[in-house]
Amino acid sequence: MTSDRIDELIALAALGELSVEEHDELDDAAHRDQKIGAELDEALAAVAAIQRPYAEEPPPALRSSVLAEITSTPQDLVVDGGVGPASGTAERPAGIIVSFEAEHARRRFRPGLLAAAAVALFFVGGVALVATNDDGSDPISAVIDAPDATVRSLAGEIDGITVIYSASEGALVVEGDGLAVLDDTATYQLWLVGDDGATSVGTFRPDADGAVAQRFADVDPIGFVLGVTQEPAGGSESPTLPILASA
Amino acid sequence: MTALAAVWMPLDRAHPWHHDPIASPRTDHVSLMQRVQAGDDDAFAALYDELAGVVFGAVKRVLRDPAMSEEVTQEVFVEIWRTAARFDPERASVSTWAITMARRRAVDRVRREQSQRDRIERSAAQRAPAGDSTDDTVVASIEAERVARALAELPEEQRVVIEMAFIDGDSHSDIAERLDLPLGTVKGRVRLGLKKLSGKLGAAP
Repeated sequence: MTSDRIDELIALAALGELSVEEHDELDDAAHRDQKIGAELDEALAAVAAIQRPYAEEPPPALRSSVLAEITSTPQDLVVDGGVGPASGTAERPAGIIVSFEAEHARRRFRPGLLAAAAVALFFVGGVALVATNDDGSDPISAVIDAPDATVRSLAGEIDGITVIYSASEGALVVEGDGLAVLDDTATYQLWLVGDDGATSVGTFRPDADGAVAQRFADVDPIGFVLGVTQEPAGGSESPTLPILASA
Repeated sequence: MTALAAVWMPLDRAHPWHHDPIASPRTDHVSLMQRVQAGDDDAFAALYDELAGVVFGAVKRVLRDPAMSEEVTQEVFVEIWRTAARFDPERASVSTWAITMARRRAVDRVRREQSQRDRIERSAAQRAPAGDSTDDTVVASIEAERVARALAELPEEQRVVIEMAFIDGDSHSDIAERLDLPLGTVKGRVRLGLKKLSGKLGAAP
């Protein structure tokens, strides 16, 4: 990408006018080059500084309206660029400009992952998988596109695993890119870890390109740490160190 | 490989708001954000009180319409609540994060609901804050003077575009049309202007 193109994208980000595709382009560039991320941050800080003096208090009634709405609004599980060191993903380049909507929209433009999902539906064992929902919809898209979908990115020895959860679907989707391809003797296994120990969610395997998108039903990960381990084929009853990724 | 001992903490104990607060001028906002991330609605109310003015102001610069600005401001705060975990204090202040979100949502609303004609017809007088009672107050502030000085040091062609974009709230296509410039030129001037302003304005609470 040329420096002119980077400047153009940063200008559009500052203007709040990035398209989803441009957002991804800038996100990728910033991910590859921290200097670009720093330049973006500086530009956004300058915009905020320009606008801060023009603060104007909204009508008082707005406060109660906002506070009422959040009581029925679930929070995302997202930890991309999250607060403080526990997120483990401080290098995430576009935490300022990435909204869940953008992430959500971006996922709709990743047919490769959905293709990987289709492969996974037929080749992964150990979990109950269905090709379509009763209404004929894609069960993975049903979670990803659910209005209450929330997302959490796992970090650790391996990167690139994201978990999307929908309470209304009662299911989560493990999505990943660039994962190490395992031979037939091994599998990845996802765990929910709480005070009482670890509970297996299920096993998953990336396709030949290292991609995976797999749905696990009847799961509620709220309040648990998510962890991924490598286990013998078929999975294990308890997780085996090292923890490859967690959040 | 060894079997996993019970070394993982539940999510809420693993989160950093149980750690010592980060010592910085933004500690209060960051601390509030950390509590918001934990689902603390009292902290969110406090954060609202801190940021409502800058968010509403940023939105209104773009939308002008007070009722629509209220709606979008509410959307911004709900998004802040919902996506609090995305905030990274190493990258931006809380207010920068919120203002960025506000601007983007306001622009989205303009795209959806305002015609190009409405945008062009807005009076150039709207730029000057002195006629507005609220703006009378803020322009007198140190922050406003600092911004005004920094803007005044920009080359004229960059200053005009920056003011139109971030004080008038114009989109870059509006600016291109009003100034009869190519879109690329407008974006280039925005970028150059912001680069020069970055060093002068820096981070703020």
